[in-house]
Amino acid sequence: MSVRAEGLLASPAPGERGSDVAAGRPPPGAEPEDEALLRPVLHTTWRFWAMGAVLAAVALWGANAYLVQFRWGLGVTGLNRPNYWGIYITNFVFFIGISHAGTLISAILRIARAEWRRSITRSAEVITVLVIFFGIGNILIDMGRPDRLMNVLRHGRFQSPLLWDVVSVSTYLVGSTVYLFLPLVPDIAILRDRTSGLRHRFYRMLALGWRGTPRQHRILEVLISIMAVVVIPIAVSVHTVVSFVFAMTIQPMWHSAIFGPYFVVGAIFSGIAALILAMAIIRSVYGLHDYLKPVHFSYLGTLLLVMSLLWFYFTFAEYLVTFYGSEPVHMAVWWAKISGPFAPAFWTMVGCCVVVPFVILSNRRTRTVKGTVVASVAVTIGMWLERWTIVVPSLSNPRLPGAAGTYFPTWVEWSIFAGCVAAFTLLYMIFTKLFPIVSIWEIREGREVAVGQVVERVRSYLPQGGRVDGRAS
Amino acid sequence: MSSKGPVMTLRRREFLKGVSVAAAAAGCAPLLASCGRPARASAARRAEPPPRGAPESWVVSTCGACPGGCGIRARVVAGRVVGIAGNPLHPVNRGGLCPLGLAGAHALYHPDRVRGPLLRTGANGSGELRAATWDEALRVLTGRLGDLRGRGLSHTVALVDGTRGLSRQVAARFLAAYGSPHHLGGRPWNDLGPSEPLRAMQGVESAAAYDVENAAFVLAFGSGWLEGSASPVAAARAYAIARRGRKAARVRVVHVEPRLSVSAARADEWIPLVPGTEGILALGLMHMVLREGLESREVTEERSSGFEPLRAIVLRDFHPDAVSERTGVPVATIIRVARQFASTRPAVAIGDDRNGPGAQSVATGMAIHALNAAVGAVHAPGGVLAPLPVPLDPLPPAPADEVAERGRAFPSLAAARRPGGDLASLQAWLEGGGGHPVHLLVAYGSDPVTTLGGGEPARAAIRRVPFLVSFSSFLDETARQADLVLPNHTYLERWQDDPTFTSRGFAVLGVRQPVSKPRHDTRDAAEVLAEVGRGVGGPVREALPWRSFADVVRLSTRGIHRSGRGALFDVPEAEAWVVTMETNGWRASSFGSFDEFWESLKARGGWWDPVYDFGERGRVLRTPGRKLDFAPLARTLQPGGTPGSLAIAAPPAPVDGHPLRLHLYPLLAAFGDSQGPLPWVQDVLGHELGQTWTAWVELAPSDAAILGIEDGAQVRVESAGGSLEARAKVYAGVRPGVLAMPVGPGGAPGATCGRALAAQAGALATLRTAGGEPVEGDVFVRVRRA
Amino acid sequence: MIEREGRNGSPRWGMAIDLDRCTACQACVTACQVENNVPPPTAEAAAQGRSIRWMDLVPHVEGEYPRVKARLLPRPCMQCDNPPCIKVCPVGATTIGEDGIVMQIHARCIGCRYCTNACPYTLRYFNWYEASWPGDLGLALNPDVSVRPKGVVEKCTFCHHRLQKARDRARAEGRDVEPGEYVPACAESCPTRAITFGDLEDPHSEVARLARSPRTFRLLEDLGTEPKVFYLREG
Repeated sequence: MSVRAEGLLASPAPGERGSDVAAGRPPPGAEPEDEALLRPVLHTTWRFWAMGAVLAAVALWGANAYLVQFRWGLGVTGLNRPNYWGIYITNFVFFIGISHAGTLISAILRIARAEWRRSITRSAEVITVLVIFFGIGNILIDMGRPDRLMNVLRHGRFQSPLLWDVVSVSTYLVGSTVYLFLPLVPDIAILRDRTSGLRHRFYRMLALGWRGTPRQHRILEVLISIMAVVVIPIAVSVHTVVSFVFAMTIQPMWHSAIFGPYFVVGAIFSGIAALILAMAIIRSVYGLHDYLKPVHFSYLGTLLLVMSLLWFYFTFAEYLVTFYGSEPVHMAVWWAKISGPFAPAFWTMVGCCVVVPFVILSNRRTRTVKGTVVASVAVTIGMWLERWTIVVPSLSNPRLPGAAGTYFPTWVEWSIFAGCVAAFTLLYMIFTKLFPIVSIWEIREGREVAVGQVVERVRSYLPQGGRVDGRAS
Repeated sequence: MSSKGPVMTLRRREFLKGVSVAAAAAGCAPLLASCGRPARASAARRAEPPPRGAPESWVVSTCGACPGGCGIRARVVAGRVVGIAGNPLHPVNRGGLCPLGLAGAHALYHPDRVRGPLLRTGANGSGELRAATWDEALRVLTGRLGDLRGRGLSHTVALVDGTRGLSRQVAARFLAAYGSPHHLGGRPWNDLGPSEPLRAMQGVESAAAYDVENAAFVLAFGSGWLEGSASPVAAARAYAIARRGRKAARVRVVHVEPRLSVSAARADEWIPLVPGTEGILALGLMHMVLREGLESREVTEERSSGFEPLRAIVLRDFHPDAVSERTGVPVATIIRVARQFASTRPAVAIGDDRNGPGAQSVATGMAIHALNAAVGAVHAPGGVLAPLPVPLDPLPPAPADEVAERGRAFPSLAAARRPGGDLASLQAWLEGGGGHPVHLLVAYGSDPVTTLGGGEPARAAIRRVPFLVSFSSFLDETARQADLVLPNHTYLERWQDDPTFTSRGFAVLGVRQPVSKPRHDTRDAAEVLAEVGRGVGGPVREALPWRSFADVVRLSTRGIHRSGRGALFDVPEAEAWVVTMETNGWRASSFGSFDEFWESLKARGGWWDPVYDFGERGRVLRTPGRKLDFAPLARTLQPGGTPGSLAIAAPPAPVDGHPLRLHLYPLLAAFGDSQGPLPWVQDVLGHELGQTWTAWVELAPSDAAILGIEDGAQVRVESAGGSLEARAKVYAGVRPGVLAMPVGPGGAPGATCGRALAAQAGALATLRTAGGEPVEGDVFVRVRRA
Repeated sequence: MIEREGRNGSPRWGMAIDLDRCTACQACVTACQVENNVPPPTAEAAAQGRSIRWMDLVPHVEGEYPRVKARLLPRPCMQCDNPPCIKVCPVGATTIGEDGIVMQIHARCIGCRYCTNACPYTLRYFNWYEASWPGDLGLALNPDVSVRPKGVVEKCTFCHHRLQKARDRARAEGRDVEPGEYVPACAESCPTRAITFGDLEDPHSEVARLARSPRTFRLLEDLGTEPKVFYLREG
């Protein structure tokens, strides 16, 4: 690994400028560089509180809806026989899918040494950690007997794909949290050094005594590299296992061998869209235009386009195979999606997941910040609908015709959905108030170390005047 | 909707409690939402089953949920009826039971039961009732009756009787001694009473039994005989035996009905036809039978009278082409079915002997009976039988005084014999067609308003009676507008005899005994009549001297004991032995002393006599010359007759703009004895069409497309006489051009559990033909989106 | 005690439903609901498709007028020998006994409804609300069957409580459960005797004889679930 200049990332001594920082003013004589990244943490506007209040209200409304459901039972939902699963399971799959934004993308970019990752990894990883809670939460909300959750540990059966989910998702949650936390340590140390009182104590505790010594850096780099490698198979397994919940049954249009990769692709696809949205909001709210540049959006947009096409490939394969086989029970579900009651959702999904992203993102001129945001909104909606059109139509069209039925969520379910989204956004906002949403030290590292390394690396790819290349770092 | 207030507050309280508990658990204060709880959370409560190990017994009795007369065994634990199963010894049901009977305990514990006598407080027919004591209620009734009798107006009292057996005799005695001729039949819709064709052509007052068990070919006309007959369990059992439960070959069943009912679906062949033309088809089949010489010569030439005129008319008028034109049944089908029917022995044609709206006319019934007779299927194995009566000791003739003699001498309303039965006569009478007024009407085991089809015309007609008394255990349509409600025990709380018969014509007596103590302040209706009689005094007092109806039942069974015939209920295997003994002139059973006999009778559930003597022609043919008489049918078809539904020449023309013909059919397990709406039964009725808990009408997909009506749409059905609203069911099993609608008395609006098919019944009475006659035969309707 | 041929230990309870006898009266449906303390259905529950019918009548209308055919199929739990529902349960709340009866342990079920979705026959039911009995209707509860709490899945048990009672009785009398001694409520109530119940392992039992009939078929047989409910075709 590269050798770092001593004290490169060391912060100034705490005593030097405490009060100024607390007042939120840029301290005189401090490096103005990257101060914009600390500003959201140290300075809060009324807009934040207003937005926070609105989101809290929605989240509380959702919590209230859940209490209604807890009191009266799942009867307050629109669920029925045969539609035993509905919006909660849709949300579970959707949220777990979104969670692939972070860890997986950031890990892949890290391993690939994509230098443009530096300003986006943090925001991606936060999405992952927070959204997993809502993924798990929706499973708990869906349970008829949440009070018996412990039975899963007490009587857990590994033959059940749901147990695979429990293991996989909890591992993913732990892994992602660690993977979020590790690169956060140097930034926490920065904040530790710039705050006082309670906040100072809070950051001191979390900074784990980070002083930025070369040894500490070495350890951090190793740990991050290990986690980046470890987290990828976990992430892939998570959504594979989520798909297995459906694919392991013999229900029409669930029982499919491509569901594993299909779900993983969909997850990354929706994750990138969510990341673009998060970045766009952070960029405009916190004025981080210098850090989240159009190039980031353009690159992510390209990635989104690739995933869109990949997703389309899987979808096409899945539906063509079903259609060509024309088994009646499968075709009942198929037609329900293509031209039946689920057609509006299905075709909106196709439009949102393929047509809109392709039109916008395949053209460099429209692959702007705005363009990618529009595409991402479409993809997010489309991917939610994709989960919906996978979960519900198969249940609505069971093998024995007598049990057929329709499902539409009630206010309780919509409220809980809204509450989840609001609570997630709120937690995300709170995170940006506690920690820099763009990794400061990684930006600095990029500026001070990586530029040279990249030049070196690129040079190493090229023939260099007859010299035998042996210097790749 | 008046009960909404308190219900809401209770709900909210519960809800708030629930939320606060949950909020405390969650450690946050949630926003309160006032909706989302289950609709029934407040009205209902969690119930605890009786403790384990509590004393348990099985009590044998007879079901009274419908007129079927099945034997039941009630499981009683700690005094609670916790289950009802069929009595395996009972020859009618042999352990099977229908949904209605199985849910019987829920009628006993139904929250909507009348808990004690009620007196009207508001205006006549207002339905405002207050609780009263029995003393007060009986004083009011005794006073009224005594007053009318004192003024020589005893003949202005009428009693609508839905019971049978001894309770019916008690009512008859009461009226005879009191001095009224108006003992009117008020049987529930699917009850089986005396068959009109048998009365007309055989001269007997007897129900018709169809010996399906022994038939090789069954031709069923009209509405579903499996679901709508008087004893659905017995019909189903006979069907199953004929299909798979006998040595003889599997029966072939052909079903003729405008709609693919459950019976039609279970048949080997379904022949859809124009509603109300079953009689014409029967005569068309007879035409082919006669033309091909397939009739039973023995019957037509020796053992009947009046056949030749009928033959002439049938051969002249009922040519397959004409019949096909009128019924919509292809000529080839008519020819084929006629040949099958006449050449398969034994074959039987089943008429629809149901009562009330949608029933077949007497003329149609006679046509079907004539078809049976022509092929020798009357009083023959596998044919139409006149079941044997139960040899109960009859009550002695009622004493009479001068008032009684005078009152009895008035012509009875029941003599009118209108197509709609006694109740139709009553309605017409009340609407101004009658002679003297009716001052007091007693609904005894009956619900005349519902049986008349419910709805405003029926209610209004009954409201014309100044004083209306109901013995109903539930607030049925009649009780709701009564001046006095004297709630009877439910059938699980009372004594009763239940004389009935099997499909093979065997006499059966089921004993009904209480399986539960009375739950509420109710009394046995027959005992109440006796008590009222004591209050009125004179011959009425003498006529009804007993205090306990159980004694009446017990003493009447002395007749059976004395006869020595038949046997107590026993396992099926015992039947052959009884038959062997009896047909060889021995007594099959040793009944022992009467007390022993009575105890065994109660323990086994009843008595039967598994013998039907086909030689005994005098019993089933009371006509002059002991011959089956085709003349009544011929008379209706001759010039000057009133062919009604058999009029082949002049098909009824649709009223302007009313393109669809109405077909009314009974639902499986339709409510019999007024029971209140049982949720379990509501959940079953119409389930085969996915139409439970609601009022619906069915129409063919082609008609629905023309009318622009989608499945599930709310529609308004209009006839020249009235209209109703219902949900549309687009059903491929309906003949195009027909609107099919189920009938069955429903639950009361505002019932605490179980809601209503009531709209069916309620709106029915408004669906009348242009002439104002009750629904029967050809009614034309139009349908549009509501 | 009769020594039965071909038996190795436990009986294997099965059911044969003769569609040639059945008249679709739904007595079995009500008998089951009443026997097993299913809370009274409501119009709302029916409209929402939440009626609990362990034994149901499955209607299927096909064809066009006048060649319409209505099939009406009484449908209890198929009591599969290879039940897809058991595989997916995360907490082992659904089990299959040695006698082949698939049971639900209501006290353990977490209400995830995976089994309801995995069942290809859609014949498992969920308690959407707390069970309630209007007025005194609860007095008619069967003391042998527990009332299910809200939020758990329930299903047909072949009236397992009746087997337990029959076993207790037999044990007290020092004998085996006799044929016909244990019969579920649906079979007992059937007016047409269309439902035959008994031990499939006993080659002389009526149900085993019917299961071998050329008229026999099973629902969705190709899924390999090996149902122990056999249907006999009409005709």
